[in-house]
Amino acid sequence: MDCKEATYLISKSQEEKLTIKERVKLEMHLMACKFCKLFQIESNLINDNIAYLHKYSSEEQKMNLKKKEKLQDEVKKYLDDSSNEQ
Amino acid sequence: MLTLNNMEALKTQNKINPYQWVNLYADYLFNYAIMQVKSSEIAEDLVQDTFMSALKSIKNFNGKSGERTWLTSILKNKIIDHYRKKSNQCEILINERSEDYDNSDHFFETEANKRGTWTSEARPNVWNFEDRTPVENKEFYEILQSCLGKLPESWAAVFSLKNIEDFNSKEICKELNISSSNYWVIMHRSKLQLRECMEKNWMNV
Repeated sequence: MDCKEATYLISKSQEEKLTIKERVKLEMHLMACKFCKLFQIESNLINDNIAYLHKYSSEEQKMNLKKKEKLQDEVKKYLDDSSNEQ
Repeated sequence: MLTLNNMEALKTQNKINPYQWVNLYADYLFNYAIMQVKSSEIAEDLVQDTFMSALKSIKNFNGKSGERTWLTSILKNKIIDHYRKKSNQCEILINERSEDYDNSDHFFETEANKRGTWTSEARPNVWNFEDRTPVENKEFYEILQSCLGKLPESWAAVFSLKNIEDFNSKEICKELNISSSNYWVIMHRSKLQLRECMEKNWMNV
């Protein structure tokens, strides 16, 4: 197994259980390769934290004011039209 | 069709008031959308579509979930549709057997005697955490967000679907109509890029 395959399996293992054969081959590679071991630690760290991104995202982005006014008009028009159709 | 009478009924039963929607929820929905699609124009369109669909299906609102939750669930579907359209246009495909995947990246050697090993420029370095554990660290998340933003949009779509609906790989492949080997190739490439981007930007702050 080379590093390209090893990192492929590491990334796969973050979502799915590897087969026993894959796990054994990966473990053997990781024992000998410190770069892939680092990749595993650091990539797992990123992966574990991606789900929290929403919670910590930078400031709330607001919708453009003009667009919002336009949207409000459209919603109002729709509601007024449908109540006039009675 | 929505009539004034059943509008009134809905309002009192479920505390729903579409006249206030834009005022109350447009920014929230826009912010949600832009986290997933990156372009503010597309995010605005998605919010508009969401309100219009909501108005048309207002009688399906059962009042069990709050207005905002209900609108957000409609928006989620709009985002998924958006990505589905994109993947139908084949923008998402990278072929694992293509020259692209094998040769044009800088991560791994391609010469016969050391094929598939890390190139010296791409080798991971040790990350010094010390006092900068990522948990609760706003900076970490800001840089992660910007690194995700640097991925090709179609790859970021795959991440988005995972986060929006907690889809697993099979469901994402089905939603986006991609093969599972293609999915794993996209994930592999994305994670190599993300880790590298975090190392360059987070560790050097």
